[in-house]
Amino acid sequence: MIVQLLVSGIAVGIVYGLIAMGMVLIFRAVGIMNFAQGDFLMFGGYFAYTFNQMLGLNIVLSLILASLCMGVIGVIFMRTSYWALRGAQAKAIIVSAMGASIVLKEGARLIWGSIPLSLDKVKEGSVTVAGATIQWQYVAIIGIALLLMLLVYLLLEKTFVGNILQATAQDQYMSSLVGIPVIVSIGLTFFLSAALTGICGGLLAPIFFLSNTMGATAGSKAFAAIVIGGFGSVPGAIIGGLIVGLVEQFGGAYISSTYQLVLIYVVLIAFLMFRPRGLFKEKIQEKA
Amino acid sequence: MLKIENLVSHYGSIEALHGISLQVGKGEMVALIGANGAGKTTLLNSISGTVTARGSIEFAGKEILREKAASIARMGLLQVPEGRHVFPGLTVEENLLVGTVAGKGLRLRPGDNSKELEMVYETFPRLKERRQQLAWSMSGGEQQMLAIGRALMGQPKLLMLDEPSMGLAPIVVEELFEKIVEINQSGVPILMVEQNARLALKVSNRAYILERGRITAEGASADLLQDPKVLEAYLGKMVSGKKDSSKREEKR
Repeated sequence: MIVQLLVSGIAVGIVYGLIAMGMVLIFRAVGIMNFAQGDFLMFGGYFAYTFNQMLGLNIVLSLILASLCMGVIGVIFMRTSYWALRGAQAKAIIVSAMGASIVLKEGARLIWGSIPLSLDKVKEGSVTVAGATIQWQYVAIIGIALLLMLLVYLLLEKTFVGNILQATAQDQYMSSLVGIPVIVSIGLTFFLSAALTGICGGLLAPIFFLSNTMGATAGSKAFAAIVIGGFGSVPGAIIGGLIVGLVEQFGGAYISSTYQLVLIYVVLIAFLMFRPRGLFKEKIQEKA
Repeated sequence: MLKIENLVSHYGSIEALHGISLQVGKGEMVALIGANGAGKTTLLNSISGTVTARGSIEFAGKEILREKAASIARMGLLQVPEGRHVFPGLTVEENLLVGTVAGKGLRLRPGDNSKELEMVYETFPRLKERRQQLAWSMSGGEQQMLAIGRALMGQPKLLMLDEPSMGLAPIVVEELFEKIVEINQSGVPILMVEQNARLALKVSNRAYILERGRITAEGASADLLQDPKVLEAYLGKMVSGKKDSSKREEKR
């Protein structure tokens, strides 16, 4: 039982971490918490459903295509909900993101209906390890999520494009003074963030079912992960996601499945009370 | 190289520059001096396209007033802004490589930049020692060197320096200005904004004095250094018998 919960907790948690990472990328680039991020997950899940169930494509290919489609949606989101308001106060952009969230939610209902849907698992069946039955889907999720995180890390830290994205995130004014077209750089960040989050929808759908309201729950769990991990920190978002996933799975099994979300918020509040800056510090610090 | 005519610039509804005309010729070092709030930084920002303005700005024979900041930078008109603005979370070398976007454009791979890096490291050996260090953790002087080095990576056709001496110890300022003169002598024209008027006038060929958004004096720097009005207002000389303590004096 414990091994099973541990694996499912890590699998779900790493997905929350991935969504949180998407939010942190946008937060670092434009200084805004994107409250439509959860809906990127939901929409990505529906794209995966379309490719997998409606067009009959292989699930891995469907996930990749869904991710690319979400990247494009991310760029459209940036252009419509952020760019025009970039000079305005943060709260204006937050409200506009909330508006986009409603558009995505209701758009999904118009296109795909409101009946919960499911799609293929990456790998069917299960494996028995030390007496515990573990679904292959969980193992696949962990593997794919780790791979994606590694790729993002390499892209941001080890490549020239990553340097340019980071430079723009750190100082937009200066980036334009070295000749970087800020809209391209920010657009690429939104593409990356939405593509990452979109793939998560397809990974979670076989476990939780796909519905047009799944974004709000997943988004709030990812937000909790960010606060626990330390605002703006990528490793923090991942560790925070794992904590949230484990609390959800173990709490659901041993305490009450009805109060899973409540338990997450209890942990969140505990962090806010005792470690309000989260687990990780930011890479850039104020010089003493 | 740079020819500005009748430039007017606003911050909201407040007019910050009231018709500025200014020129920087090939290979020249031009200083722009003036008190706080005179509009020096606004002028540089208007040239680099980060503040909107009216009038005319001609660079290398092309009108650039309506161009976007990023394309002006890619034309080789590079500004090193006040407060240095290094990219804090990138290493020294990454900062320098990002600087090549101005000269070589936006691209997926950096390509071979060893020539540019070598040139910058030769000018500022300190940067080579620290090339793996994150920029935020460096001293003010090193950050200023990095900011200038990053601009040099973009193969500037004209360099605009905004307050390069700000917040630096006198000995660091001295070292830095030697390098700035060196860069100018290698053929890069420089437009420099500087509060340390004496120093700016010493190293430059010509200078403009900006007061409340207007140019009130211009001429060869050597002449301005002798001008009693300039002496009193900007160099803290006791012309009227009273020392003006509000102006920074160069400590030597």
